Amino acid sequence: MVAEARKKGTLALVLFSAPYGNQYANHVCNIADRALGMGYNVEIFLYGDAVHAHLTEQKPKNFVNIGETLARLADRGAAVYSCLICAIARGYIRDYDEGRKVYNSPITPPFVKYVTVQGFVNMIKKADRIMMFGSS
Amino acid sequence: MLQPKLRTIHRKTAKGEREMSGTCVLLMRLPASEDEARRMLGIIQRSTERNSGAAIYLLGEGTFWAKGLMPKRYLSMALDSGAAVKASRRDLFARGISECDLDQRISLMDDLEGELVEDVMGRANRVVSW
Repeated sequence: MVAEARKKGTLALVLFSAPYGNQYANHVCNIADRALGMGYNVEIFLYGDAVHAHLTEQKPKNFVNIGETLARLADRGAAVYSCLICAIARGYIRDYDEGRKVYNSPITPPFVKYVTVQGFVNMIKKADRIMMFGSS
Repeated sequence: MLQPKLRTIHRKTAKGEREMSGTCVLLMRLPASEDEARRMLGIIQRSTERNSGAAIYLLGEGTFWAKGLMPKRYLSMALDSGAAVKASRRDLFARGISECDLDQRISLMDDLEGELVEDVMGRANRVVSW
């Protein structure tokens, strides 16, 4: 199924804004949902304050829980990348060993893959279309 | 005032439906100023000159383009030039914008995100988002 999705095409969605203060994260999730439903491969990159979006433990009272939504999208095959440097800057990562590229982050959900800017470049290279959301 | 030079070429499919090719412009917020509106429209203009057309998608706060005085004027210019404009029915109504407030050339979509994905992945060759 993944091979079929790759054949059909890859949509890359890049989010710059934190969740809940505006609707950009919701738009990313809704568009990713439709793209997965149509059989496309979806890759999501969280940059800057958008790294807060992957937290599943946030409890928004009147809004869709973005972290849980991202987890469900990941279950359906979406790749969710978070910027490593942004996550370190915001306290998500402890004990980062730059030489061995090993880090400890007890609060990061397992579906999130931390990548550097090189990882972002690799994602862009693979993508057939790229859409950007929000501003940092 | 900016004179729009947008052009949109719609190919006819076998079923006779209009098919957009070219640039998709996703608007999710209002312009902060007339200068910015002009810049956003300018990008549409340049994109359509290089490609074969443009479609504008109004999503979330972007649906206010259909109502606000200044943005509406710019949207009308894009429509006059032949760009297709599609808006999320759900987001319009959530903001109290009724159908009678809208330019009749704007297509209301029940699933704008699905429409956008189809166009972005299947028909357009460029996507710009604001």
